[in-house]
Amino acid sequence: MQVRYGRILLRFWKNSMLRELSFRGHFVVNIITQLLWVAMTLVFIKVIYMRTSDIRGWSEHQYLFLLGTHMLVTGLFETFFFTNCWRVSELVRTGGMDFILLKPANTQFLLSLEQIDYSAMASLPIAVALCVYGVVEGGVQLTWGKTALFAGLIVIGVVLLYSLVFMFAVTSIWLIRQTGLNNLWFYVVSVARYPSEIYRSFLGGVLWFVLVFIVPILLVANLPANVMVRTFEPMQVAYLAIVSLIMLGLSSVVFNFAMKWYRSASS
Amino acid sequence: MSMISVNNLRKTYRVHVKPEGLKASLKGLFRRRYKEVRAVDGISFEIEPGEMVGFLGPNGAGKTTTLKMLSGLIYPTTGQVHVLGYVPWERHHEYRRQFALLMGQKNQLWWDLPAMESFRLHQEIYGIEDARFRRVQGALTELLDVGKLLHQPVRELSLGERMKMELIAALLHSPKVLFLDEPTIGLDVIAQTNIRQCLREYNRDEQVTIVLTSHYMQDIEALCRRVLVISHGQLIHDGPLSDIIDRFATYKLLSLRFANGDWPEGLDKIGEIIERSRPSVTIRIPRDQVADRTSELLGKYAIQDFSVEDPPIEEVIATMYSTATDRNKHQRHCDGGSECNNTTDSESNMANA
Repeated sequence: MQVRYGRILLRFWKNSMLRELSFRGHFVVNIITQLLWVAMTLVFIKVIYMRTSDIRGWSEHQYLFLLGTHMLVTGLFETFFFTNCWRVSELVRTGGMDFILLKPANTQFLLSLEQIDYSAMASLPIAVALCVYGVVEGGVQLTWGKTALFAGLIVIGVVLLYSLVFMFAVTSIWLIRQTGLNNLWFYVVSVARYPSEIYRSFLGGVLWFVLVFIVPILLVANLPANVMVRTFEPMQVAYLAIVSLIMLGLSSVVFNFAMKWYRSASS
Repeated sequence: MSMISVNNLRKTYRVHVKPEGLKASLKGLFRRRYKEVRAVDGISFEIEPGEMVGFLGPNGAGKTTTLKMLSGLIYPTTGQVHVLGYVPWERHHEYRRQFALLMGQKNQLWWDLPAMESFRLHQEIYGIEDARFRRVQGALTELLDVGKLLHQPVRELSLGERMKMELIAALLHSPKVLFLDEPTIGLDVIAQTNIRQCLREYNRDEQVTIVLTSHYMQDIEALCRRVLVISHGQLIHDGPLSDIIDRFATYKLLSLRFANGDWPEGLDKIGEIIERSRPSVTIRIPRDQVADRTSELLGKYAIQDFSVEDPPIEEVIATMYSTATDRNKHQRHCDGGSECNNTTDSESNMANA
């Protein structure tokens, strides 16, 4: 069973690769825009750290590592899931979901993993480079345990982001048109790339509380970065892992419920 | 046991009534008005293994909605359906492994890739072993004569070629039940014939049960011994295509060719003249008068050649649809009132026929 899903996944990736190769320019343009974005962010950070040596306890190297971690999580999500989530609304509106529903395999699996956006992978090497730079320049002692925990948290973070965005995408089964997904993702990305501490004094910490405990998107980059280059609370790690799993389960419940309302547009 | 059994199936949609104009639309944001649309309104039928059944009806009659319920894409409002012993909308993997739905208006092949890559994906999803995949895919490719096109991106194929590829994709896992929703729509005559041929051979060789909707009467005539006609969500005919003519054609067409090269006077008293092209004429004659009128004409005039034919099936079907529409309106209009007894009677007669 698992073998068959593995083979389906490989075929999805292969077909996506074949398609990507037929649009060669796409990949190059994406790398260039990614590099520009990173360059701008680095300038922004540099400007801030010219006037201060820490932001709420984060040194410049630690912040660069946080930025790398953030790019890693969001880059992985965009590579594997964003296009698929984005397509849900399109598939509902045009009735293209029909063909996925007809197949003898888990519908959520087929829907969530069919496309892979290789061009979004462009940010991954840059992300790794930022992390390495942050570790080396910051003089952080690496251990196997820390690295493994870091990697695990990256996966957990991607799972959480997927569950949240997918559930949002699924609402298009009722709303038919759902174009808010791009905006939602933009907000998630923007919010999660700063140290979580900066939200603490804002609005009496209400926003911080919501983004850490209710919809813990602030932890997605902050927590793995803390694990690696600062200190961390094991409770937070357990909390994020549990919430991610619950959200993943919830996404499946929501999806199966929503599919009863699917109307299969047009003939 | 039947392959497909449908019992009193209904599907009602709640449709948002969109008022005209901006002001009314704004109001509609807060207070929406809905109306119920009965897309499928209590139909029942059984289909046996290996049967090839045509589904006829005007646009919006409920054909596609019925096929979608049989495929488990949408849930019915009420009623039971069993296909291969499964309830379709429970979406069991085991059921989905054994049927296929082909839709002429939608495509499932990856647009930018050669069809072969999509076939390979189907192989993985349906878990078809290599040897069998090669055999089935080879046979179908040969049957439809598309071997040269397998490695060309689907977006570069013509509509007919693409439809053939879609058909192959739908048949790769050797389904036992095949639902076809307008498989020949928009295709030229040659491609239509090819697809028909393929379906006929496939049905014969593999004993596949096929349910087919189409607006092209040739599809139905060529393929289906049995026809279900649906109108306004209700089944108005279930039987051979020829029965439709017997039941619904009220007249025949009599063509005459006169020996002296000209028509005599007074032909319009015999029946309505629908075509004149010297020295021939075609007259529409009520069915029960055909024998009398023909012998009358043969006795009176010097006739070189004559033929009696049924009207074209398209016309008969059109008459049938409009009768069904009138009846439907009438029935809804007086809604169970006493003078409607006739309507209800004829309704039940039809269902029994």
